[in-house]
Amino acid sequence: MRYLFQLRHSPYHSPLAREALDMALAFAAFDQHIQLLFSGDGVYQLVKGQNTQNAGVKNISKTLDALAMYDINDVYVCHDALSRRGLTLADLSLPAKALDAAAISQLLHQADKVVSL
Amino acid sequence: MLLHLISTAPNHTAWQDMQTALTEDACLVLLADAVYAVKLPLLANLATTTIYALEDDLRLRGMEGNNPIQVISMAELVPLTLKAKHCISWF
Repeated sequence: MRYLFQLRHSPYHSPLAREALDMALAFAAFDQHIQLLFSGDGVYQLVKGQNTQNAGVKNISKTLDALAMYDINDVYVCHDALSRRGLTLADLSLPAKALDAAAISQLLHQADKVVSL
Repeated sequence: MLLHLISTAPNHTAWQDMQTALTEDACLVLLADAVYAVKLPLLANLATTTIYALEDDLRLRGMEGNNPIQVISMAELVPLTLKAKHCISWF
């Protein structure tokens, strides 16, 4: 079964970003096929250079670094969300494939289950 | 001096409301997710040019470096709030 997690929230504004990633990793630990789509403010989770020293929060980049260990290799990002936020693929901390709206729609329809957080 | 403190990401509706209230002589401080705005041209189109961003929040979000606005510490933010006639916080 193919699960698509759509991550729409910025990393440190609420616990949703972390909880979505934790859920995806938990599913992957049970050998489910996981795909990640970062859209909206969720693209901020991928920004490189996040420094949580003295901030009292866990760096979400560390969790993202673990994706490959859990065989989560299908990482997508909304191209429109990136450009609206002044970002490019070069600003991201891990390789992601940029998708336009049509490709995102196709991705959502092809998944067996979609979790959007 | 009216001090505006905004903490939401740039696409949040609070930004539209804040811009309606912003005047040329006001001061704007970007906190929390609002610091993501340093990557966008919208800051150049605001009514005021007195714009600051909190360094801790820039660092946390990987937004440090080549910023067109003034970066301040929490220690510098406190006297700003004391100096202001009124503070408006936008969530």
